Amino acid sequence: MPGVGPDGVMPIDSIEDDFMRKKEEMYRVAKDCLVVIDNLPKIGPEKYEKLVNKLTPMFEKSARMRRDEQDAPRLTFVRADNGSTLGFALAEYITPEEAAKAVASLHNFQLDRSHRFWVCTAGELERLQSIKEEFVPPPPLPVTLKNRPNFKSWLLDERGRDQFMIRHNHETSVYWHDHIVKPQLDYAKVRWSDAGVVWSPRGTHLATFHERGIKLWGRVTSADGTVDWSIVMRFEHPNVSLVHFSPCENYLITFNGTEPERDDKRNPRAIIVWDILTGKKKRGFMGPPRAMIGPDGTIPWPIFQWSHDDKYFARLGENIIYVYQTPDMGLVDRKSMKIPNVRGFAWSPTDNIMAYWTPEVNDSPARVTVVELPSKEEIRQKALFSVSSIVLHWQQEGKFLCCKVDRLTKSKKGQFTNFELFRVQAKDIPIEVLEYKEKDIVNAFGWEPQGHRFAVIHGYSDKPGRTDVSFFTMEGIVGELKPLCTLENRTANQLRWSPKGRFILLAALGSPNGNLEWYDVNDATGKEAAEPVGSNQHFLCNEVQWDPSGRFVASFVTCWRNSNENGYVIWTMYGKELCRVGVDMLYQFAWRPRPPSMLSAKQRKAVKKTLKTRKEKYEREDKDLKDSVSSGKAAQRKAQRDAFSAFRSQTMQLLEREAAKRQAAIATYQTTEDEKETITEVVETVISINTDIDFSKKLLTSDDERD
Amino acid sequence: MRPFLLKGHERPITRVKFNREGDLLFTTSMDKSPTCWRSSNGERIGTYKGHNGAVRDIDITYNSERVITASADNSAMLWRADTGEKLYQWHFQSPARAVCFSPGDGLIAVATTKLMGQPSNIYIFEHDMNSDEQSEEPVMVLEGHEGTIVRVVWYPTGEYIISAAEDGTVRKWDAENGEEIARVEAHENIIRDCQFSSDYTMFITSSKDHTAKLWTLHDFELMKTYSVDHPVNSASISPIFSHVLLGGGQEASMVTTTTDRQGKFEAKIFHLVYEEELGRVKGHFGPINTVAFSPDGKMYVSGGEDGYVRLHGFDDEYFDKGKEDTV
Repeated sequence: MPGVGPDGVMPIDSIEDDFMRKKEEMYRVAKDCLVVIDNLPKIGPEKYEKLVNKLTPMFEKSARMRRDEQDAPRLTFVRADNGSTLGFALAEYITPEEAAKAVASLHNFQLDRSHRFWVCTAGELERLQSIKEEFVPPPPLPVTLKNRPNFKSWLLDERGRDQFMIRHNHETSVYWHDHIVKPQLDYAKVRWSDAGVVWSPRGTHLATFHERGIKLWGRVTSADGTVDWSIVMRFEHPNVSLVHFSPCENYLITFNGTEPERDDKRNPRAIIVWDILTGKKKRGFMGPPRAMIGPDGTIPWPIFQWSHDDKYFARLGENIIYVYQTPDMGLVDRKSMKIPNVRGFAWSPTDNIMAYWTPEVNDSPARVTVVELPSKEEIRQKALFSVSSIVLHWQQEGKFLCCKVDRLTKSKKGQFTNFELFRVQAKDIPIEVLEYKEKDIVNAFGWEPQGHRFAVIHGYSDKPGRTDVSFFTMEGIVGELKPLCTLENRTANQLRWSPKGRFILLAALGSPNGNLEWYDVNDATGKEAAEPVGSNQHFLCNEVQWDPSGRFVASFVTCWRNSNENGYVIWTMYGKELCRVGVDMLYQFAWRPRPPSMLSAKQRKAVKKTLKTRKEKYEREDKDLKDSVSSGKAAQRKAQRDAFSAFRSQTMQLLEREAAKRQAAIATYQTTEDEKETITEVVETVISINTDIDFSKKLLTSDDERD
Repeated sequence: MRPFLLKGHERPITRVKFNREGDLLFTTSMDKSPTCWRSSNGERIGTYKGHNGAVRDIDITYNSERVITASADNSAMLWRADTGEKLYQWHFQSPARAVCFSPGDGLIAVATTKLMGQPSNIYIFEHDMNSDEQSEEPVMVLEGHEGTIVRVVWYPTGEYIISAAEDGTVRKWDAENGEEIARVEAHENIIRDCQFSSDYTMFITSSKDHTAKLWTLHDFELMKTYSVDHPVNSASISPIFSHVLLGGGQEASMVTTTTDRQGKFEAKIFHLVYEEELGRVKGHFGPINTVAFSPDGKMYVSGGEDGYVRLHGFDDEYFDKGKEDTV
């Protein structure tokens, strides 16, 4: 014990010190137990009673309060001399921990429109008050904190390769894709996830599912180059079944399937929005009502849609769109958007603009509306008749919006499709229409990413079984809609543009043949019968995915539908097969996404200018690698050959040693064998590996005899 | 070259085997009649009639005078090879699964199926070449395998017997006293076949686990693994080139649900040393159950679940390429 003298008795001054220390400590604790609640309504004395009655239970509920002799909570609403309140209150809690709880639950509580509580402990308030006016920069952070591992190390790959993840059997593996050599394993882990594995939208993290919640992983490379994936964050959400990242990777939404009827309305736990960096829960939401769940139990996921910049996230309700803002997770303007009968909405991928549609109700037509947020100002509306449903497709750069409108014929029996094309960035947003005839089937639609073209797979009502693929352009911000070309009689049912545009892969997914056709749309434009730049087949293939660079595309067969032929094939952008890998029980294949490029348009132009010289360098590198691979292979083969030859010579000796025994084993035949036959032949037959000569001779002679 | 399609069996083929010289080909099937064919032209010489159940294995004496068959009628039968005359029958408690003659043909080994509480054992009988009558009592019984023995082979010096079983192990037994000398856990799944190189220094095991593995005989060391995307039912080592031949395919019970292309019913030739696939041969429309190179290495035969025996002679190209590949 400090301050105890050699004789075991505490000196007086030390007792005093001790007393003072204890006193200070008690003061400190007392201050930490006292909570100041500011921003309360200021009211006259006549309403005082009402205020106390309303707020006291609220403060008491948040944590255990200290009580006075009359067993009333120690809570003071500070009043002026005339009896009206000053807008703040002091509440005493039993311990600093309880006080902290109260602060956490009460701070930023929205009592009504104009009163949001501001809460802190008296100790904290004192600290805040004592802060000096002028700013003193804090001391630099210790080095260890600065050294947050670089989770983006994969982007620094010297050969600019992309990664992909496969989940098969119990294992999840991350591979490097290289167009010269076979896919190379970067990292693999058995039972990494209990269910699926999800890349974050910019590829920084990998999310895995566990019974207790979600784990977020990041790839770290140590100084000696070894790769490991370490846990970045845990999000505890029991029985979690679905996740959804915000586009800038700031937030994560998880869903655990709790039905709204069983959920706690005040503290919903079905859907949780998390802050990824801190791992803190930002807000809970109720799950989708039963009416929104599909007949087979499919959850409409993602249930929230994020704006491109993580600022807003929105959810569809009955006659309502809820738009929340970050970081406070409250409704924008504290109001949801009331839109009668709204059925669907979609954010622009580049601006805070949202399109939504409402169906026909009574005599009012169906409408597609484009609104700007957070102003909620309508910037365009279009009324449509005889609508059965609408699908909204934004072009990836937010330049155009296509509404695929399925319309009913006058008799309400047939159906046909229109495309309403909005030029969102042009003045007044002009709209063009692309119409298909009645009963023409439209199978697929796709915008060209980073471009102005789109492709449609469609059939004809009068020519059953025929499917064509047509390309159109919306060139320019104003411009006009122009057809480019039509590819006739294709087997494809899906189209997948390269993420860099220009190239498109037409695929017959889920069909036994798995026809794949690559087209260069620049080249096909204006041609009568354009030829694909490449065509191939991947038997039974049920999904295709372009890599983020747009240079390669993978087609794969997962085990959900077929238990055999599982595996993936990686092709170039023009359909040349690079590698074909069979993977038993393949559940998932996913390229690792890349963050958006950090180069400005100017820098990109500069790079393009020097492409020729750069190209040489890369081609040389590729060639060197190819050579080293083949020489490495040659070396490996030589080693294998040498090892095998060594084994052979060893066994030869053994055979020589055994020769007598082998002969003895068949000795019975040697005595009964015809004397005329040469014994040497028999011996050779048994011990030599070159038996073929003798046998073939025999075979030939026996043949000859027969002939 | 067009293969000979030997259509004589009505049920899946279980085993194909050449005699020592390679001029005769013996096949067994789930139907009851093992058949003898002339390998040079695919002519059917005759069948061995007498079994009352599927026949699983066959072996031929050194001089091709006699054959022995193992059948699911709980017996092994000794026949005259040329006339098909039945000479003797041994009875067991469970189906006979594998048979072989000792070098010199003085002994016979018969392995039984593990079934209905009966263990899978190897019974050794004396074989008198000069008499039709044989002794009923085994001279030795080798016990120990936990799964049905699928193959038994006698080492050419006569010193030991090698057996491969569905318990995934290959075991070496002392033929003098019947003791187990060595064992290796060769596969995690069922072993379907085990064949030897022509000089008996190596053997190749085929398994349901989608691999065939090459082992040294003397110390049971794993040398090579050949991986495919389907169960391997049989594998054979070329006597002249560094090639191995793999046959298999999706399991028979699953075949009805798939097309022939999905079933992977092709025979595949791998490089023995590099473990790389060199080529494949189509033809069967069911899984291949058994393959064998002819002793001269100039042809191979495959027997399928589809009941066909296909006898393929290799083209000149194969021999040119094979010489280059040979290590």
